[in-house]
Amino acid sequence: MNNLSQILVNGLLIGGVYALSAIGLTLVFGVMRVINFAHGEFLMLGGYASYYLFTLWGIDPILSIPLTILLVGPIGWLVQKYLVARVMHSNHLNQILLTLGISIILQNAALLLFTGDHVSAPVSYGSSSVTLGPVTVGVARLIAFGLGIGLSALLYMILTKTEVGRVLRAVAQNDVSARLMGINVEQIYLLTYVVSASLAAVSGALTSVIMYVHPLVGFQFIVKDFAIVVLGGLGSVPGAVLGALLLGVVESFVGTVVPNGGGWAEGISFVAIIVTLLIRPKGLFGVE
Amino acid sequence: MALLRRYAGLIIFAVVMLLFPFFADDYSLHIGVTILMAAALGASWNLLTLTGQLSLGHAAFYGLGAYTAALLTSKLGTPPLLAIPIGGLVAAASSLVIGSITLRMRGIYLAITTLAFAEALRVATINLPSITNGAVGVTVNALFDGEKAGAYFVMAAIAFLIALGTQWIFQSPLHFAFTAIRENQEAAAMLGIDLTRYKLLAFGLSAFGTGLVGGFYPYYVTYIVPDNVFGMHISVTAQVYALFGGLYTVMGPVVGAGVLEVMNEFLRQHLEQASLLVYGVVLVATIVFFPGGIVGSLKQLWRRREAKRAHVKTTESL
Repeated sequence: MNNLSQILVNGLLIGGVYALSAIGLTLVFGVMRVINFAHGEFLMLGGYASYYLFTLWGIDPILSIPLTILLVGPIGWLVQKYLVARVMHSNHLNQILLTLGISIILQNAALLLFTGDHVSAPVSYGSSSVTLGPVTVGVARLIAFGLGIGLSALLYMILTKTEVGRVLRAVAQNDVSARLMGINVEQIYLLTYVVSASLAAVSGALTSVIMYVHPLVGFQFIVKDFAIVVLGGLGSVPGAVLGALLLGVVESFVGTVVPNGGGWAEGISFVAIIVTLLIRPKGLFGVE
Repeated sequence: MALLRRYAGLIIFAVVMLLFPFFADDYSLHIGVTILMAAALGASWNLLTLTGQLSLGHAAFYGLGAYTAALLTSKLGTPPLLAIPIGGLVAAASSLVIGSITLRMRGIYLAITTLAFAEALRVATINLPSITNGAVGVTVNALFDGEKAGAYFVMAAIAFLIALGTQWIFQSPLHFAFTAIRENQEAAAMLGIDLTRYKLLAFGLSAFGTGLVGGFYPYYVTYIVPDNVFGMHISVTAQVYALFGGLYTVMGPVVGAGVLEVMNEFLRQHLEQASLLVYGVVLVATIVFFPGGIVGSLKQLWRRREAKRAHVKTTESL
């Protein structure tokens, strides 16, 4: 029984980090109707930013999150302004292939710059843990989970309660009407893309503490992200959070129960997508 | 004359392919095989895009073809020339399953699902060593005892078959159905086009072609591992050959594969493990600057020249 709650908690904790990355992907899809295959690479860049800030200047990866965003956000700005903006009115084939191309460029540029080695930020609290009732949790994972869920909640509040959120939702619903109402749609797309890239970067910073960062880490995450947003419903932020927690728990169970289960992660994501499409194609919180 | 022009691309392709081995040493022959594999891969992926469908996981079909063929030969002793088409059929069968689940949904779901499918097959192959030998991989004997020219002609036959299949589609009523679905799915359905049937047909043919190339691969390199045949690089390069050469054309993927593989041969040593960088740059540059690719852009130039000439003629006669 103890073991079961431990597995559950482990899964939820990692799910919090997945959520952060997945809400960025679902946000871009919701507002811009673009599936951003380069999303995982912003996570990778955030991970390297936080790793280098830690090893070169000793800044704690959690404290350096604003700096990480300052480093990765502008890259997102450039990508949206000069590349993705050009295909906003193109067909989905061109949009997907373009973001995939950007993803491949960033991955391989990272391979050349940072080499293929797995790196992580060895923080002092990395191996400390606390015992809460029947379960033991790593402090770093707890912080990562708190930040993941906290930032997801913050994004949800901004989307539903503020003027900026209202404008974003207006563009998401109908970009032509929004434009007619005097909203600068291009500006909103830029904002959305930069926010999404920043969320991924924070997720990457957390990954550098609790796991490893390498040039292809973004690709590992994007497969999970897809499963999560299909599970939660494309474009839904609460759906993405719920989907992320669910995927985290399932991965945790399979990882413990199945021999060498940790190696099946991509398989679980695929099964999650197929099962969702068969049972409830619009996902848990899908609107269409 | 019109007939000759229509087949010009295919005829040039066939002649060059047949004559090439007579002038080539072993190294050039190897480059030839690489280009033909790339061309066949790109042309297979292109078949699917004719219906506006986007797969980001053609490595799944390539890997299924490769593993099916290699396992059949290594475990049951199936002759390669029989195992290769079986590999293609297994790949096609799997595409029909994936297709029938995703085709009811919007196009992006196919892209997402195929990507995850290739990754799932990769980890499944690694994690089921009793069937697949796991990460150790499968070893088979080289085709025709390593006789390069023999392997070259087998691959040439596969590549030509796929190009011919594409040409056949372009001349059959299928072309109209595929194009209608690509341009406007709802309108096509209104005209009575059976969307599911044609989309599955395109997907199945595309996966079959990819499975054939994958099936050929183990007998050429004698050794396959999961990361190699199910890797993302297969799916990406397949797209780039087709896109760079010219989507929705017969010879585009062949031309794209030729140019890119020759270029890659020179750049490989400088970029080493990051050699995919070139493909990423070409992918982005093609979409942003010349979406028609090489063949598409040439056709446009040609048409513009014809139009100008026709214009001059009419003004002169006035």
